[in-house]
Amino acid sequence: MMKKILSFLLALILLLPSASFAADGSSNVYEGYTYDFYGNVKSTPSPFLLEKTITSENLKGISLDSVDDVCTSADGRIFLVDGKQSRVHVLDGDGKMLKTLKTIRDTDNKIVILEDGSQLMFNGCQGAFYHEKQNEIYIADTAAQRVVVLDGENYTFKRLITKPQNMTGVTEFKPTKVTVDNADRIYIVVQSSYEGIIELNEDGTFSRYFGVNEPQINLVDFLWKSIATDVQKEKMGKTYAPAFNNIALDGEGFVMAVTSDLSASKPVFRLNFQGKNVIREMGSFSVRGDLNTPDDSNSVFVDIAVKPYGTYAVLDKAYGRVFLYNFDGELLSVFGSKGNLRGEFKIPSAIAWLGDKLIIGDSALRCAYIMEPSTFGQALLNANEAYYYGRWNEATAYFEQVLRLCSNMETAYVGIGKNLLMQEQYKRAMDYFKLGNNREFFSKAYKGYRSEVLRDHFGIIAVIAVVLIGLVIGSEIAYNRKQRRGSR
Amino acid sequence: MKKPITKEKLYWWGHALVHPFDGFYEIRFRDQGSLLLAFLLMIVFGVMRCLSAQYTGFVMNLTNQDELDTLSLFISNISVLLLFSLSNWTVTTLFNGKGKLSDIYIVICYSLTVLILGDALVCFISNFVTTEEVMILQAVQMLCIAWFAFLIVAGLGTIHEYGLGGNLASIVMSVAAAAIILFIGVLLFTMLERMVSFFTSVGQELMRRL
Repeated sequence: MMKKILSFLLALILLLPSASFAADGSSNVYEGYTYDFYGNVKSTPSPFLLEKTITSENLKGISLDSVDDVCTSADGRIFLVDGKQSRVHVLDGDGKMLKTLKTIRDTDNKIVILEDGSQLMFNGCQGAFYHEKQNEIYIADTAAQRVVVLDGENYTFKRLITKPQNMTGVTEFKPTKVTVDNADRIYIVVQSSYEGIIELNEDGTFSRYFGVNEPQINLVDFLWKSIATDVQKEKMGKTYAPAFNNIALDGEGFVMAVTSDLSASKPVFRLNFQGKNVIREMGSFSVRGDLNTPDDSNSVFVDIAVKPYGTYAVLDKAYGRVFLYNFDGELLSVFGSKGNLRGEFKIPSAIAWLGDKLIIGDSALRCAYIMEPSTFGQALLNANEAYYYGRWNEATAYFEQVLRLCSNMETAYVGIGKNLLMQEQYKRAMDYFKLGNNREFFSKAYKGYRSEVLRDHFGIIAVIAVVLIGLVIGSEIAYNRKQRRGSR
Repeated sequence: MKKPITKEKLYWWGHALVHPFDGFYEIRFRDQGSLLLAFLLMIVFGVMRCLSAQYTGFVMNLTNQDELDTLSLFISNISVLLLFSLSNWTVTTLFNGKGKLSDIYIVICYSLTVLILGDALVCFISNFVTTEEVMILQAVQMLCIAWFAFLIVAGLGTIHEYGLGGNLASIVMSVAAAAIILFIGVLLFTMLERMVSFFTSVGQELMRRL
């Protein structure tokens, strides 16, 4: 009888739809991967799964012609910028539309009239940023050459930022992306500008150009310049800042910027206050996306999203991929692909964190995806968060969970190893560092292990050393005596 | 029957490592070299290379153990030696070199002793070092390579009775000759492959028609 019930239950389980082939098509079509120490592709589970797609259908009939930027607020609102329709759509975390913005109204619900008598309307807006500290939305109104600042609660007009009177340089004031830091400094990206990011003071006056490319010292150039005349030097190209595609702020107030400019020394910048690139690249490879790509076409980073604990996701337009890096610049996992299936990209354009979810906009498919972390992805994020804030034991537990789900993650082995190293469990730490292929930390653990062994066996080592030294001295004395006797 | 390895020959092997001009002169002109010993040294060198790829300490070892192929490593290391012996012989016979192929082979393989010893030492000690101390071992490695190069230059100069300039020129030319030999070899194999595939397809065609 028992057997019958059991077999019936088993048959029932077989009939149930398995989770990986959900009938509604919400299952992901891609798998994740990462690179090991030797640059080989190692598969991982996908860290993110498609939860929901936002298209025109979600917008009560307003057509969504493009998604040029995505930003989120801490309370879970999503802002989609449609540059073709010149609209900004406000949605809640589930993709339900709250409001759409085109003409801007003031607090009396009247349309704002500009000095020249026209109504204030967006004109080819390309970027948005939600400034939590002041509860303001900054919208880069590209074609109209201004930044519009709106109230974060009721979306009423606050102020306009136009080209500052004291701005120098030849860059046109056509803001495409905008970010505001905690000191209310405004950073404006102008695409195709080679002078850098425009930094404005809180009051909208021009401060400086920011994030200039480090000049690469080139022996050939140096030789040419040393023999060139002044007129020739005038004509030679100067090294300028790369044209940045997008910027974001990390938890420590650094500006992170991505570029696909070939003259850039690196594709991802983490700019300190002086405008120097201080990106951490402690992984096996520099932060550059895919390795060994066919015909040397590098990943083209169009947007970056940073968590407060420094884990960041960069969006690659060339292969439609999202690269997850931790604050040390170690590659965690990569997912995404180009194609026509649900969850795939055509021309991905924008990425933003919404809590632990990712919002990714695609300007060709005219939609935005809400991606939720899989168990694996959640464990990765939690582990790196705990590690960043120094909660070692919690981090170890999460790293162990990561390894249960995917044994290819070298960073997870190293994470556990670092915790063991701090607890002075050198032997075990060595094993983990070896699995994680991290020679630098293996060496640190080995140093501890070696001195431990030397200390424990100091007696016998000392005896051997004394005996050896004694033998050498003894033989020297014997040899000398023999020589002396011989010379007599 | 003459013994291939005598005590005297072993002595001159050791002597040549520290006094290459003197030692290789004896080996060349008083017949104190041993081909068998040279061959054994070559085999040991190949084995040592495989061992050091596998057993060098983790801190210094950058080879991927999952993809390590000792057989191909062994063959590639040994074939370089054989190829260089051959190309040096082809060049020096044209330019009045006095050395025979066996002499060249003996010089190269005897000189390998230094590399074998260096590899063994580094391979063993590297298991007990940290990254800061790796530099010392790398210096030892460099020293061994420099010594090896000196032995080769001195040895080849002695057996061919060359001056320094002519000797260095002959070595550079033998590297070029080695490249030419490789090129011709690859050419030959691709041609052979094409010929074989041509004849097999002709045969297949015939069998289908008839």
